[in-house]
Amino acid sequence: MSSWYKLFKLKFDSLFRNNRKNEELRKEMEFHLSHCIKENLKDGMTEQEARKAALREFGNTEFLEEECRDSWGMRMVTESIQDLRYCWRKITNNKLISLMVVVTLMVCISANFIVLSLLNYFHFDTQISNNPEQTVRIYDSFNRPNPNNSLRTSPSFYVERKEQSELIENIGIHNETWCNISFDEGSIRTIYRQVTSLTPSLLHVFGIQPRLGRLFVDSDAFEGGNNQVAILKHDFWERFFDSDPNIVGKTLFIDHVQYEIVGVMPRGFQIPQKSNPQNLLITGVYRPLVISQESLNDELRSRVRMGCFARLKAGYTARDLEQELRRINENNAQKYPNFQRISERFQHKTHVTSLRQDRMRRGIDVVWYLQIGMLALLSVGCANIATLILGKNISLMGEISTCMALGASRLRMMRLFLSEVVLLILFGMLLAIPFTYVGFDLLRANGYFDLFVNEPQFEFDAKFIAIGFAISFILALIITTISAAPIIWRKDLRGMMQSGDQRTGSSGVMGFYKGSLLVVQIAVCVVFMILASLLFRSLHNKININPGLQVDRVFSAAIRLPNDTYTPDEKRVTVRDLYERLSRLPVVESVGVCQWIPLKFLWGEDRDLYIEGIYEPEKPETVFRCTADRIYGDIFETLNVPFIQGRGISANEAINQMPVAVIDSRIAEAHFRGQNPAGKRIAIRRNPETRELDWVNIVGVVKAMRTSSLTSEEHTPGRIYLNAQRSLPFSNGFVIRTKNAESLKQFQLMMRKTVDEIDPKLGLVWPETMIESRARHFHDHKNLMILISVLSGIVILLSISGLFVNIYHTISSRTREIGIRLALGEPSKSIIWRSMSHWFKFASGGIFVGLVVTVLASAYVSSLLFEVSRFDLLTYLVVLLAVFGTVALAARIAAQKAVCINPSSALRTE
Amino acid sequence: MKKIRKELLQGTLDLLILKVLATEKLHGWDISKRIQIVSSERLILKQGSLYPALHRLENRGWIEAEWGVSEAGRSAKFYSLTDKGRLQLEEEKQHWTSFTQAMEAVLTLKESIS
Repeated sequence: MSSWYKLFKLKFDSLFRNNRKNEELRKEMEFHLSHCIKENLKDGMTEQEARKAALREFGNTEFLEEECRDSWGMRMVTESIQDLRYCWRKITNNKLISLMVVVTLMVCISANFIVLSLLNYFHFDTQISNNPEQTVRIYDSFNRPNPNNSLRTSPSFYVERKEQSELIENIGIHNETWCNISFDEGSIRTIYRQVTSLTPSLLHVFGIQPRLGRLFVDSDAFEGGNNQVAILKHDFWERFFDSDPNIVGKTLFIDHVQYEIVGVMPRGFQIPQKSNPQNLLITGVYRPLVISQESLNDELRSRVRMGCFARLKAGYTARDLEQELRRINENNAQKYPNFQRISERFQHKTHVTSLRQDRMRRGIDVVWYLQIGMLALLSVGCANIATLILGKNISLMGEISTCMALGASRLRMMRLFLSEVVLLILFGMLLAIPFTYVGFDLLRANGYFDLFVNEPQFEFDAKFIAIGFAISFILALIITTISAAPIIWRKDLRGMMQSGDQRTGSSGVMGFYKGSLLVVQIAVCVVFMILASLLFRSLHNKININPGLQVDRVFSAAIRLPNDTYTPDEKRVTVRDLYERLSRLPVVESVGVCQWIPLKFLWGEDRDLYIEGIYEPEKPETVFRCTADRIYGDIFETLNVPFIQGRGISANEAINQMPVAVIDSRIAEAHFRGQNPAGKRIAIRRNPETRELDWVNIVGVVKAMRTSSLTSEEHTPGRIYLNAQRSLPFSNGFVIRTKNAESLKQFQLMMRKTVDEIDPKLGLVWPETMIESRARHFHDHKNLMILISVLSGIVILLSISGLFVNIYHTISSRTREIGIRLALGEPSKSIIWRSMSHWFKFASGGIFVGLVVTVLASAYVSSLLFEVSRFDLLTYLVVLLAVFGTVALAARIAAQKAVCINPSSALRTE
Repeated sequence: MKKIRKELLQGTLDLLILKVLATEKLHGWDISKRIQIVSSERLILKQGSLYPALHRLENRGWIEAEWGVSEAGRSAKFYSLTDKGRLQLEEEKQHWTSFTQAMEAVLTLKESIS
């Protein structure tokens, strides 16, 4: 037999044949003792004396056996196995509490896995850039009313920075335009998608390699060169080309111009956009941007329409670049007077943010919600588990004191308690793994992750397991310390063994300790239940916000008339022609044409607003801001927007008459408070030839619609509607109210047919009912609300059930005491009432502490709340009732059960 | 004859056991007796302390044990030296020799030098 086999057998026997080994050890020592005794007998001792002397000479056999066991090297393992057995017995003896603890752990761990995966997306995702810290967004702000609209810059700045910055390794710009895309010449399969024009350097800034083909090269963007090359976005390639691996070299048509496809970007890549509620606004095709000399005009500097990204040289930060660019701006302002004038007038500033910061800012609400959710879950979970395990340990106080009286060290007892918590955590984690998979798939399958541009992937890798274990172990230590240390470190073992009342934890030091922990548990419940309810109500308000118009039976779509095939006059005629044809359709009630279709194109054209009688040329403060829209037809009737004063713009308004305008109530309140604006004159532009203001007459006031975003606070200063017939519309949006809901369903076909009658090549842009537009607009918030609802629901359920089980278990463990009371003649009702009132005291304390903390904590979440006060009375009342209700119910059920038991049986209860 | 103090034996017990077992297979009682006799009763072990040492050496693979029958006809656990134990014995002996030489050198130092 080889020596390693013998050693293995030795270890195996000491681990798995422990009893046999111990028996052998005893036998061996007994053999030795028998020889000693024999020798002592020979020396003339009596048998008793001989045995005593032998034992004295031999030493403490128990101690020597322990030493021998230590030398086997498996002591720790065998003790751990013993501990585990003991823990398992403790777990199975208190099934209700153990189940509650495991469920709490399972839910908390699963939810945290999911939340960590989502947070990981914001912090570490590299699908957009291979170095998010060194890739920066550069944008210029010009004192606009809504700063979110200006994460952009202009070509002049780009060219200057490319030439003058010493910190930039590479820089590129891009802009988006809506184009008709067809897949072969003359095809009626025309789609309308965003096309991003970008400088070839931009894709190199992100450091991402194409999935197929190549990226753009400088020669693709030379003025007059071969610019007709395109790169497809991955999802566009999948959807419209069925992931054709031979796509490179094939062609497509953008606004009837043929482009050669030279590459496909990898999955998940897209140029970062500002937060965009409509996911449809995602580019499908990239093409090279040619920067013309005209676009470098100083006057155009404040028209910041280009997104700009740069890669920093190693060792520099976004802040370094921002300071350098501001210095460059100051130098250039001295060279170009026009730039200086614009810069001073609009308080120009240049901003640089790293892609990581940028992403964090765009997803800041989501990150906040998730972090609050995670904190809430962990706090509620910890509070639940600590109080439950403390309750259980208190009921085992007699057993603990007996073990300690028999010589078990405090550390050994602590290890036992820790092993129990670790065992429960392991169960929780094991159950959490399938639960997480199911939860993640469920959320993904229902599209709840669509609020992220790139769908976050659930990564079940070593990193998450390690984090999960580390968090769990720290929690186990905290929980064990909180729940076991006060019991184990008590000095009066006799008191522990004898005090029947204290075993229930209802009085004395342990009673106070348990009571305090319960107050903390109730306080945590109250805080997070109120915060969760406030966030839920806030999101609910966002989804149910009134946009100021009625969307029932309204259909909307736009047509784009390419500049190369339609002259301005032809465009005007075509729009009018389509308007009239649609108006004549029997199912149509009314038709309106507008530049920016509500709920689709929510922004608008920011303009200066001059009001006659207020405006003074020398005083810039008499120039206001507004958003302009150009309308035609019965737009307000179609959208059911009521007139507050005056009338709308007639379709037959004569061109040669004084131009008219309709203002919304926001402008009326800001500038014509207490007056009738009808008949007053305003201007939003100067005549290009005479530089005189083009005055228009106000003919009516309509109720304001929400325009900047339906889901954020309104920032726009108000809207002015002008006659679309007097100028070229940028876009031609149609809104059509049908006579009944049935015809609305088929209206897309009718409209397509009507457009075909005019020009079959015209793409129908974004055709859908306005109910769909509205639903899509809230899609992200709805998904977020569902995520928050799930998290809030879990927090509330855990809080309530934890509280319930804790109270139920504590009262149940007092069955013996209740039996004595019954035996002594106390009425059942009195016992029940005593139990309930006892718990009400704790509930009142917990609620008081919870309310104080909530009032302080809600200040930090108030920025996330939408149209709900952080002191919302209804929310507070409902939560308080729920907490009181749970306490009352648990106390009532447990006490009722206890008083129903026969007093003699109750006395035998342990 | 003076008995050697117990603490002096600390650390040398392993060497004594290995040396005694180098000649033949012995059980615990015999080992302690053999040490006692060979040392002319100057080395008297605390009986019980032998067993943790035997189990430690067995666990290190220096000695091996098997159950057999003693002269008195009772079943006893017999220990014998393994090959690994033999090497260890040589090593321990060298250590001991160099230790005693060092001690000797120090103790025979002439007082006049200081």
